[in-house]
Amino acid sequence: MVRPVRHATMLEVNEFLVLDYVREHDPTSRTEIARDLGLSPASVGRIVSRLRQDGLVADVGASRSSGGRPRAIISYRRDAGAVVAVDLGGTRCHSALADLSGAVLAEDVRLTHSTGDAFTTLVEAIELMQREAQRRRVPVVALAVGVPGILDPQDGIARDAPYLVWDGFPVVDRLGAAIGIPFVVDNDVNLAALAHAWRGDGRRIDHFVTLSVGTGTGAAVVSDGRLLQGRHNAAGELGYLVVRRELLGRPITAGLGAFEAFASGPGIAARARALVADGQPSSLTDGEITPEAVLAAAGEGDAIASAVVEELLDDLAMGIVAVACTVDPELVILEGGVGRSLGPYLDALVARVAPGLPAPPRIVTSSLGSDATVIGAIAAALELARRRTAPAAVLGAFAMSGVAGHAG
Amino acid sequence: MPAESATLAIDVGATRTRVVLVRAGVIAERAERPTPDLVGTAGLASGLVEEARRLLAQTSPANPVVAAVGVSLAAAVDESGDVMQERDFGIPAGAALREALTTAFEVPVAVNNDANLAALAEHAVGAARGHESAAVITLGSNIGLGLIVRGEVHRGAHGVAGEAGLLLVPAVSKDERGNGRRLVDAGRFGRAESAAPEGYAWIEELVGGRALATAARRQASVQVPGESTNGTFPRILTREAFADPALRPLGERAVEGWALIIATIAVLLDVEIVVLTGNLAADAAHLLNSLRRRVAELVATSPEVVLGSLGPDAELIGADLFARAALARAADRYARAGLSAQSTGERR
Repeated sequence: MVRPVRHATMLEVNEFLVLDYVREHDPTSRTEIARDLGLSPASVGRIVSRLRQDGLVADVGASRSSGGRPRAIISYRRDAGAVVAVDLGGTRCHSALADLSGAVLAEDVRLTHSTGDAFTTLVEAIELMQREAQRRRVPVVALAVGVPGILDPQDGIARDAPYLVWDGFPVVDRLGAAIGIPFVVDNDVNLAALAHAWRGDGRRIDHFVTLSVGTGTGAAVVSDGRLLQGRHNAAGELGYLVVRRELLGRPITAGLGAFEAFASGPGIAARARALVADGQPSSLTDGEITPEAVLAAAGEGDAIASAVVEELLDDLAMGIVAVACTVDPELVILEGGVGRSLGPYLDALVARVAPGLPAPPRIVTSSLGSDATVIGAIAAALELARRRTAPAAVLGAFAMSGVAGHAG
Repeated sequence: MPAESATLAIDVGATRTRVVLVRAGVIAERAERPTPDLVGTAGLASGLVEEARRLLAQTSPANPVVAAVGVSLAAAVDESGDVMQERDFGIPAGAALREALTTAFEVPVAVNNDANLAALAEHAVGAARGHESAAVITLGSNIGLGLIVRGEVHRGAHGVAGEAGLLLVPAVSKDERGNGRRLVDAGRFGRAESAAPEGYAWIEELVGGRALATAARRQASVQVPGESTNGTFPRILTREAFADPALRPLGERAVEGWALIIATIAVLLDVEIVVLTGNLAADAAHLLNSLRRRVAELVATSPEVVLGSLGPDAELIGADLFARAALARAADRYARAGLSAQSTGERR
């Protein structure tokens, strides 16, 4: 079902409908549009002319397949422009160039701290995508960046992004000075949730939560089909959840929340290191103890790694219960490097969460691989580029939550 | 709805049940009974009908026209007003209450969760007025939560959003009891009997009103204030009770547990304001500043924490508002049905 767009006139709504239809049924004809959308041929004609003038659709020939009068075939001009999307993670910086249908044209992954400074890496990645667009002779019309931190909606300052070593970093101002295209910066988990609503596990689900467990830990809460932002743009900052008795009253250190100290990649690696240092036998003694190594060893039955994963499941279960008994989502999507690896443990997680909840949520691991934030950034950039070039489902479902800036 | 018509508002809690008549937005008549008495032998449904009839009969003038009935229940309630899970103090699962009241009064009966209705009322006319987002925590025998998201009551995917009493707290089992209940020790939240999964307790079992009263009672030396009168809520958190060295730890435990609930809500939803309502909240008003301090220690983005401005009537006012809204929707449906019939006629 296509949701009505707020504040739009009927004519605009129909433009969205037509544009979406062309995008999804490309190539198509005015007759098909009018028939399937229940619009009059005259208004479809008017709308298509306007979209053609804007360069969003083009006539690509005629069809005679039905044997009757030839029908003019129109096609979505996905190459009329491109958007750049960046997931500036705590570990890696993943950027993509996408056409106006959201199809990825080029991608790059580099280490966030390879340049010694996350912002320098970000600008380099954006410039690489801009050069790629230039090579393809398509103009870049918008940019969206996901960051692991809280963006202040008033001044565009990243208040709390320890993994980028940003605290009070004026990312919107700095980006505005560095690049010449309209852009939006948003929390990475918020963008992942947008991706799930658009092309992932949250499609057509009104209430879902994306719980990301990776270098850091965070969540995005989608309520009635819209992202919850909160008063300080900090809704879903699950990393600060207090899940263990020994954490009560512990001060927030270095921007790391109590939950995040345990339920995160670095958290489980640190826990495994501590157990190994105690001298307990483990296959983990053979190499560097990374989160990936812990998860792999647990999969092979290593006792220490399994114990660490059990503790992680306990902590996550408490987090999910907290989410379920307050906001009551239909679905919890596990995201992030660690979260996505928990497929083999979903039953164990459900067994911890379900008892006692009147309506426990379904729990799944993300089907978008490591791309959710980039896909969400593409959707956000498309929306920013031109509200009507974004998929209507996304437009209707999400008020943009990020902090937009412009070249200046 | 004619200006002189009234609504019946009913609030069923674990300890007491209130039935009131609301006329022109003001509670005109009220009755209060211990819930166990109303449940009696015939069950809550007939108990409620009988109590409501009694109230109407003693109203002056007697037996006014009732336009709608609003019911607030300490239970999870779905969109249609059915109870999703029966409660051990007498609320039956399903549509039994709604059907009994509809049959008895032949008017729209609107049923909702008590915390949702308290949130509705505090947001419409109380302490959360004008806020886009709010969490209204009801502190009575049990702990409830009503959420206001983007100016409206948030129900969640299954209609059970706001079961804040079910937050898990790590706890060490002390011994096994029957019926899935164990004695647990949850550190600074105290000891309690718990039916939560092994290794945990539900926070309501530790710092809900019933739990705190049980803990007070366990200390044999202490006479629990208010405990002698059946159906009266134990007054264990008042300023006077807090001055008693035997009861003071319960107040401290309550602050600790409630702070954790508020911190969790703040972390998840980043709400603008948290409103505390219910008997226990009113008694614990003198602990509000300690609570605020504790919340600020636990979370970076701390919401405003205030007492509700509607007092213990929040659920009743919410039930009245909810019933009136249901009535308005019904009237709207009739009007639209009438219009469409008319236009069909015209086309012929």
